[in-house]
Amino acid sequence: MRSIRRYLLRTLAITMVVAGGVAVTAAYLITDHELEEILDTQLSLHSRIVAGQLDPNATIDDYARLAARMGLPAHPTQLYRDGIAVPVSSSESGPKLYHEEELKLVLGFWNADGSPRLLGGKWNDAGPFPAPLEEGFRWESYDGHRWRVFSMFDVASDTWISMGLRGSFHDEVVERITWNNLLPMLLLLPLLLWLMSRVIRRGVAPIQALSSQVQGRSAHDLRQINNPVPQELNGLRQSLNDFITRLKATLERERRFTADAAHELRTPLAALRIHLDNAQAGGEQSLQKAYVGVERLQRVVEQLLILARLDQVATTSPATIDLYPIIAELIAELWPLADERDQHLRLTGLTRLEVRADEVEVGILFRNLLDNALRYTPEGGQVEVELALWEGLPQLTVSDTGPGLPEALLDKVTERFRRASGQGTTGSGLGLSIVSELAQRQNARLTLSNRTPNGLAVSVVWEQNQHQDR
Amino acid sequence: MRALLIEDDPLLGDGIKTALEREGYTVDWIMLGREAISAIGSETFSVIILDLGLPDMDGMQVLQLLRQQSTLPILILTARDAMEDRIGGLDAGADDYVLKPFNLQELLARLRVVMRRAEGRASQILTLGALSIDEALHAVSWRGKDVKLGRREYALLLELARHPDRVLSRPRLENLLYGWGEEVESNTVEVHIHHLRKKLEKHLIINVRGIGYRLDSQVQ
Repeated sequence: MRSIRRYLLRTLAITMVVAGGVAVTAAYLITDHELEEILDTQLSLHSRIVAGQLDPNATIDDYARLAARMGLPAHPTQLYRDGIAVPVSSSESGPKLYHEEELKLVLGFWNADGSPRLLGGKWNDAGPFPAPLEEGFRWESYDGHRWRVFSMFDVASDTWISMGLRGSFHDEVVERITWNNLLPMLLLLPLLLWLMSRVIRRGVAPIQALSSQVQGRSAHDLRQINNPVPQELNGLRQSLNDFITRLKATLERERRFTADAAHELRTPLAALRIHLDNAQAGGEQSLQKAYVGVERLQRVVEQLLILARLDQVATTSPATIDLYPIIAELIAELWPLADERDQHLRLTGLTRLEVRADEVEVGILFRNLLDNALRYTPEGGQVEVELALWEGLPQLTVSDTGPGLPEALLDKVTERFRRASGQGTTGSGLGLSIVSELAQRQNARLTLSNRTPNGLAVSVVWEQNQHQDR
Repeated sequence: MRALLIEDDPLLGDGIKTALEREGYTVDWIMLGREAISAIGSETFSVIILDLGLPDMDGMQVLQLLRQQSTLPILILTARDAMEDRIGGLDAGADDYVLKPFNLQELLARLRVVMRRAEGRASQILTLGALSIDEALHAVSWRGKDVKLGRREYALLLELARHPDRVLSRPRLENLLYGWGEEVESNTVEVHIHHLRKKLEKHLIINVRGIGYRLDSQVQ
């Protein structure tokens, strides 16, 4: 449907025309039928009156007089004797006043043997009108016209009486009545169409108003749509407003992210710069600290790039992979880091654990988890990585003996740039947010909990919809 | 000069502390916003350096709380360069701001400016009779001649000169020389005052027995 307005207009117009057509046709058919009945009644009634008036002993002269009285100008009534036309004296010619329509109503008499006795004007035009063969109504074609004929036999006078009405009389009346029905409708139709289009235009105006309100907006205009709308559009307006709210929240999150990213990039940069200044002024340890700053900056930049990539790239279709070799390889890679700080790094549990996930994403996820654990665990501490099936679901757990997290922060720490405060280590605050993002993409659940007496355990549980059957 | 540094980032905080101490400041460094409020209640500072990006509290909120309790000059460090953030900081009561990453010399200059402004001076050279102190160069001259002073001697003289003729208590002067947790040697202030008197003029700094010291602005 391209346009509701045009659709309504077109459909309603067609409906109206069809309905009008059906009404006129029905009126035509009903009129046709009813009129035929009325006229038939008239024919039979008049025939009986004529029969009642007929004198059984009428002579030929009586008939001649009757013929003279019935004759119309240019259409004299014909008298027959033994089937042969007898000229009638026109001394007593027919009425001076008559209606043109009278030409279409004709009366005729026949002898019992079927020979004509007296026939009205039109029934002589092409020879005598066919004689009646039985009583009742019939249609007869004569001289190129259709006639409706009623015939009866009068026993008293031994005479066939037929009265006929030309079909065109009936047709003309029906036509005229039909036209009289159709004409007002034809005249009203344009008016109705015009009214309808106005009503439709008014009806869809709120839709147009609403759409133009959204259409004309700049990308930064995120105000709610508050114009009153009809009940039917309330849902749409509500949906639009909900969408605007969500969009606003997203933009706000992006804005905050930019601000946080600026902080996370500029702070190490400021630190780096001041330590270089200090080094130049002769501070002995300052150069070493400047290196720490550079490393941290590098880490922030790398993690920001990972996040940016995660934000952009659509999820790759996961395959079934074995976690063990990936985890083992990464642990081996990070081993020197642990060793340097005298930390005890262990891998326990299953040596084969299948999950449906992207290998690269699992790698990034685990590396961040392990990196965090090593970073926050003091020298000589322990970091344990465990692969297990938990209630039938594959689970990866990284536990450390670091300081753990304040309870209040446990579910917030996955927000970007959220760092537990007052920590000596210089994390970027992005590690866990990357992990959380990746876990979500793999339909895995991330759980953080504090250990007793101290330390943090981070678990990733891959949910059942792993479609292992597929 | 005693500075309160509120900075949660260990690396940056360490760098600023080192740099300021080299400039003769005594620096008390705290990492949390809520600690700042109690810190200014118990100690006397010349200036507060506040990083707006703190983990426990919104920096702006810390700033407002500080402002409610103190008229000390406050310099804010911020990573947000959006105009409204900077204006917001100044409106909330900061005396100046420095955008990260900053030039150390600029930070020091701005610190001097906010402190000077707090004392109602326009020039960076503080002059009292025959004594003149150039805060930017840390240069002291007495009766037109340059005098070489040690870091702590300079800090003491500057503090006394900033409050001429007022008696500054001994604990306050000690505070100036030692940050938190540093062991205070009992006669350090006396020793440095003694050196100052020798290098300048005996009667310039007067000992108010049992209370502290004051600088006599009338001595020529």
